[in-house]
Amino acid sequence: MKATARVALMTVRGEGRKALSTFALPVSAFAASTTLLLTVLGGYGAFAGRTSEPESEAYLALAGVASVLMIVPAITLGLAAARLGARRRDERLAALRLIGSTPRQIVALCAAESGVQGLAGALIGALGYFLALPLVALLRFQGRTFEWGELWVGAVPLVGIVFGMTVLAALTSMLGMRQVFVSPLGVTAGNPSAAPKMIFAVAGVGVLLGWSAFGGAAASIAAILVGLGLCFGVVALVGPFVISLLGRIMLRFARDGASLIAARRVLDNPKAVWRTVSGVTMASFVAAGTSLLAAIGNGEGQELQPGQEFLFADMRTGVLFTLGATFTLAAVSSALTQVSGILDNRELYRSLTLAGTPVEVMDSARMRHVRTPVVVMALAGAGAALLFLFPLAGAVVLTTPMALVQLGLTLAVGIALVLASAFAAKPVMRRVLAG
Amino acid sequence: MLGGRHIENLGENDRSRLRRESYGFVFQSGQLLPELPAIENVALPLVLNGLSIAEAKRTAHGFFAPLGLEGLQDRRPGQMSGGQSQRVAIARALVTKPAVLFADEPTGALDAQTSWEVMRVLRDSAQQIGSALVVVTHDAEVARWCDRTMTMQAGSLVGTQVAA
Repeated sequence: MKATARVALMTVRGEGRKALSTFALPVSAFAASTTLLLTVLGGYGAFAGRTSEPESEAYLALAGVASVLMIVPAITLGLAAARLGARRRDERLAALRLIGSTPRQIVALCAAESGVQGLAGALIGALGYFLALPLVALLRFQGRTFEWGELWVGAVPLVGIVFGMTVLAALTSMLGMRQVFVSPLGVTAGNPSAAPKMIFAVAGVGVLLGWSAFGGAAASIAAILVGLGLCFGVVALVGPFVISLLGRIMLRFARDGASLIAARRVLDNPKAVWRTVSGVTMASFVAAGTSLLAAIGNGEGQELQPGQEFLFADMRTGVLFTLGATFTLAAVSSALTQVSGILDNRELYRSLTLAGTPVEVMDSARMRHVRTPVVVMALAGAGAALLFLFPLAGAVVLTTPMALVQLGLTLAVGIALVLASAFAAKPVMRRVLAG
Repeated sequence: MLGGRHIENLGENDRSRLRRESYGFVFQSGQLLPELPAIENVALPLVLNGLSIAEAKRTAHGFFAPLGLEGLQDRRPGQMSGGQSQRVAIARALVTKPAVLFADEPTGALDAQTSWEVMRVLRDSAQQIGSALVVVTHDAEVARWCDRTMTMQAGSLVGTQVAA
């Protein structure tokens, strides 16, 4: 074990400035993921505690739906975080394997490195949760703001989430290490590695089961959550294929170097692209649906039941919060992926510049790689909801177009946020090229 | 000065164009875009020069057979051997028919046999399109392929040899 620790220290020291992508980026992603998880759990707990309020069951069900919508991308970001900078780490560990390190040492190294990242990120994320509490408490639901105590998840869940994030980090990266054992030469030669497939399904089921247990919920809420989970499962299976199809269309219509590179990048790893946009797609779907339902509920001549006076306005607040959170997650995920990609390929980018590829082409390729899938999938999600609800809400669409305008503006702001994150990676590219 | 132009006065975009159109570069590790198949890696400089993708690919295709890359057009860098990747990198450097071809340790990552093949292809191709070939190497065997060898030590020129 001593030898493993010594090697770990040597290799991490050897990373030097490159440690930004191998340590700081995953830690940031784990932190963002943890902050959101704790905030969402706190929010759900707050609604669960307001049992004496009118329509409390409806609020709890809606909070459950919104929570699943935010938790799944948050965990996905956590899973993706374990892969940030994985290419260089895999190369490093494959090199150690080639010079005679035992598989046990490699696994221990990998688990230790990623576990430390997960733990550091989760602790920073917990701090982020405390800092976010006063802001979240300002949200008005059921006619009043939240008490801090309502949003506090409790010590045991807090420790559980921090521990869970650490284990998740270690496990995900260990599963990702399979290729180092199967073909260390393949890793050092830069062969594309096969991503673990089962982990997403297992994590998804785990989340749903855990959530149901936490909610301790009534049958109707559990049914909604299971339905939503199934929906996520199906969409998760279909999503990468849709992204792959989108990549083919992008390739078909590519007219210049940037669009060609962007299309090939989408096609090269549709699953990774899907991970960035899946939350946005589902949130857009639910946002569009909820906007329409809220518009129906607020329609003229509607008789509101006692206690419903806040429900529809609160649904809109909830939709805005959920959309804001999922778009922020997508933006964080996109920014981290972009920066990690630039840092992992710094030598390639320098060589391409030296050989005459304008830096604008590389920037444009990065932007299109993010922009096209996000825009298309956000519109597809919202469009699908409008299509499903059109028989029910067609008249609302025609009579209260403001609901659509509001939805459109929200989506536009969210998409702009994700694109801004890709734009933010520009200085990193300049720094890399400057050496 | 190159082609009557002062290089030091050029802006970033003009410098990029100059590098792309007048110079070709072959690096030690190929530095091909991993997402692009070989044919698109070779065609990329032409696309950046304004050619349509289809036309650029047609032109790029012509470089595959002479470099011994027939049948590898659709392979991606991760699916090729080191020697094959390096030949694709040479094709990419040659496709714009540059005035000068710079090769920085072009055989540094290859075995002796593959190095010999890569150097033969590099020299013959450069001769065919009339490019000057500048090679940086630590390998005396590689240096033997050159008409003129300049030896540097600790940043200073210590000798020049012209092949007989």
